[in-house]
Amino acid sequence: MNDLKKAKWELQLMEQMETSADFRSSTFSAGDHQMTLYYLKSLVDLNETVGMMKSLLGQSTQAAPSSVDLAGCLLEGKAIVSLNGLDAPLIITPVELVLNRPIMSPQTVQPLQGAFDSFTENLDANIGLLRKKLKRKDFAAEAYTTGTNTHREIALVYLKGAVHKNVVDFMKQKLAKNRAADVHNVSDLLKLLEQPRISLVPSYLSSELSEETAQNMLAGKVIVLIDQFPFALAFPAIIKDLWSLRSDLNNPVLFRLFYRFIRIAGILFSIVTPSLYVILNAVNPELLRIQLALSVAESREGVPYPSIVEVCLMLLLFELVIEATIRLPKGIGPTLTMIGGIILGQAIVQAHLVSNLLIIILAASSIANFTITGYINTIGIRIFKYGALFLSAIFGIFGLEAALLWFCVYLAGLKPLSVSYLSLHLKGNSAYD
Amino acid sequence: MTKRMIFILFLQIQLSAALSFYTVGIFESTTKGHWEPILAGCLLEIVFLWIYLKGLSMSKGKNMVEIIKGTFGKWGAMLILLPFFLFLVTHLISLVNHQVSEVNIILLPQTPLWMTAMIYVALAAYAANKGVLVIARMSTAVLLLFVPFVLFSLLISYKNFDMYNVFPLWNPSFSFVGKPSFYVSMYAYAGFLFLGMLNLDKPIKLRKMWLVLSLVVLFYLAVVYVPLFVFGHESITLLIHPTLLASDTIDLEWVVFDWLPSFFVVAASALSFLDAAVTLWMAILLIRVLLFPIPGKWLALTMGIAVFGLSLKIPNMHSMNRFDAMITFLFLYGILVVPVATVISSMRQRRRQT
Repeated sequence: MNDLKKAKWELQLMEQMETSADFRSSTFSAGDHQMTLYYLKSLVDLNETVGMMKSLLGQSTQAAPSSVDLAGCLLEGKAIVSLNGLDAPLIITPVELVLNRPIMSPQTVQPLQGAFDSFTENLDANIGLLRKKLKRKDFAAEAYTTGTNTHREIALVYLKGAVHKNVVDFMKQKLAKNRAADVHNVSDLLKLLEQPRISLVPSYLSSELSEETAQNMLAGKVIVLIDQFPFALAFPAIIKDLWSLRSDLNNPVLFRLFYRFIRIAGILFSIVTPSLYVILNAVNPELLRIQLALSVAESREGVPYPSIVEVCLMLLLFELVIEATIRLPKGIGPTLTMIGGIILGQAIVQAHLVSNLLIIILAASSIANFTITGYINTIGIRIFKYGALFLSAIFGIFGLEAALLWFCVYLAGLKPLSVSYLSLHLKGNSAYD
Repeated sequence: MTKRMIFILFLQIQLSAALSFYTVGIFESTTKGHWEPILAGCLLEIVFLWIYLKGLSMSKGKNMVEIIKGTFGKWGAMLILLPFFLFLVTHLISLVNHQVSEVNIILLPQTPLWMTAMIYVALAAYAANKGVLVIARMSTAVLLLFVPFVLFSLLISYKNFDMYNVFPLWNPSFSFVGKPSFYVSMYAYAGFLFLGMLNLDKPIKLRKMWLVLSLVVLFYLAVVYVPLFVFGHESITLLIHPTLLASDTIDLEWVVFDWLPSFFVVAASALSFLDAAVTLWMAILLIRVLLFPIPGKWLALTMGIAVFGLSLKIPNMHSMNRFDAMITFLFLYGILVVPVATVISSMRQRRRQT
C-alpha cells in the first residue's frame, strides 16, 4: 500500500508531524477507491470514525493544500483524508475521544444554598451550563480565538439586557485589538484586556459555580470563559463583591443583611486588629483604660523585641501556614495544621517569644480575613494589612487613619473596565462620570 | 459620581470646617445668644450659594473659571480670581497647620511636626491628583467610616450638659457684627465654592439641597452648643479646642478606650483631609485653566511641597491665629465676590447670545 504515490502535501504533513508519536496515517479501501486518513491517535476515535466515514465525508470540506494549515487542523482534533484520484486534502471532523471530565460538584467552594453543578474544562459544556440556567433571548455568547503560537478559544458571555454597555464595548474592543496575543493563563488574559498590572484588588471575580456565574450575569457582569479552564471570570468586580455573594439571595432578607454585616465587619477587623495591637502597645497606650493598658503590658513581659517585630514575625508564620496547607493532599494537610496549631497556640507564648494577646489578635484578624467572599478577594486585604501596620507603627492611630484614607482614595480611583470600583451596583446611572 | 455624592462631600467639607477653630471664633465674637452669629453666617452662605448656583445654572456644563474667563477674558479672569487662588493656598496652609498641630498635641507628642505634616499633605496631594470625582466617591466611604465617631464624641458628653448655660438667649445689640473674630470664623462658610468647579451638565438646584443645608446648620449649632452646655461661656473662652475637650469630660464604663478625644481628632482630621484634597484640587484646576495646562500630577507635587514647606514656616499657635486673621479678607472675597462674578458673567454671556 505504501507504494502508492503520495501527494506533496502528504509528505509535507508527515515531515511536520515527525516528532508527534501519536500521529497516525491509515489507509483502507472504501467502495471502489482507496483512502488514507491522517489523524492524531490521542484525539480521534478511529473505529468509530471509520464506521461513520460515509456520512463524515459528506460533511467534509475540501481545501487547497497550500491555503490551509493542515498540521493546525490536526491539532484541533480534525482528521485529513486523502482520496486517490483527488489531489486536494479533505478535512473531516471525526469522532473525538472523550477527554473531558463529567460535570461534577465544585472542588474549591462549598455552596450552601444553590445549584451544585460546576464548570468543567470543556468550553461548550460551560456555555451550555449557563444557557440552561438562563433561558433568555438576549443571552449572548461570542467566541474569540486568540493567540499566534497557541490557539485558545475564549468566550464572552453576557445578557444584552442586563449588561453595562461600556464594559462590553471595552472588552470587545480590547479582544479585537489584542487578538494575536497568546493566552496561556489568566494573567495573559488580563494583559490582553489591558488591566493594570499591579492592583490590590482583582478586577474580576472567579467562580467555579455555574449558578453564581449566571446570577452574576443577571447582575450585569460580563463572563469570560476560557477553553480548558474550569473557572468563569466575571468582569468587572466592584467593592460590593467583597461582601456579597449572589447565593445570599437564596436566604431571607434579614439573614442576608446579617451575613453581609458580618463580612463587612470582617474586612475592617482584618485590617485594623494587627495595627491596633501595635498602636496600643507601642505608640498610643494612653488610649486604653489603665487596667487594660497594664494587662496588655503584662502579657508582653519578657518578649525581647518591639511589638512591630513581634507582629510581623507572627504574621509571617501565619502566612507560611496558609501557603503550606493550601495545596497539600488531604492526607498530609491535618498534620501541618496540627503542628501549626501547637506553634501558634501555646509553645511560642511559653517560650516568651510573643505575647498571649497577640495570638488572640492574630486569630481574630485571620478569621476575619476569611469571611471575605472569594479567596482572591482576601489576598489584597491581606497585603494592605501590612501597609496599615507599618504606618501605624510610625504614626500610631493617625497612621492607621491615613492608611485607611489612602485605601479609600486608591479604591475610588480604580476604574479598570470603565466602571468605578467603589460602586455598589453595575446598573446605576452615574450622572456626572 | 452622583448628586448624592456631591452633597455628601459638601456636607463633610462644611463639617470639617466646623470642627476646626470655628467654635473659638464664635465664642470670641459674642458672650450671649450664640445662635445669632451662627445663623447669620449660615444665612449669608445660603444667599451666596443661591447666587452662585444661579450663575452656574445659566451656563450649563461649564465651571466657574470658564464662565468668568468667557466674559472677562483670560487676564480679567486672572485678576478676579487671583485673590481666590490666594485664598485657596492660604486656607490650605492654615488647614494643614491646624490639623497637624492638633494631631501632634493630642496623639503624637513625640513625633516631629514635619513628619505628620508630610504624610497629611502627601495624602491630600495624592487625592487631589486623582480629581474631584474620586474624592467625591471616597467621601462616601469617609462618611461611613469616620463621621459616626464625630457624632459619638459630640453626643457622649450629654451627661454633663447644663442646660442653663444656653442663657441669655437673646443679644439685642448684635454686637458680634463688630468683632473681628466673627469674620475670622467665617472661613467655615466658604465650603460651597467647590460646587462651581464641577462642570455639571445638570446644575444643582438650591431647593434640592435643603436637607444637606439643614444638616450643616444643625452641625454648626451642635459644635458650638455642646461645649457651651458642658462648660458655660466663662470657662470656654480659656480653651483652645472646646469641642474636643467636651468629649473628655465623661468617663464611659463600657468603652475600652479611655482617651476619647482621640476619636474626635481622628475623625476631624479625616474630614479635614477631604477639605484639603478638594482645596488643592481647586487650586490645581485654576492654574491649569488660567495659566498653563501642565499635567495635574506635577502641579499636585509642586503645590504639595510648597504647602508643606509654608505650613511649617508658621512657628506657633499665636502666629497661626495672626495668620488666620490676616487672611480673613481673602475668604470673604471668595464667599462674596466669586458668586457675584459668576452670576454677572453668566448674565452677560446670555445677553450676548440673545
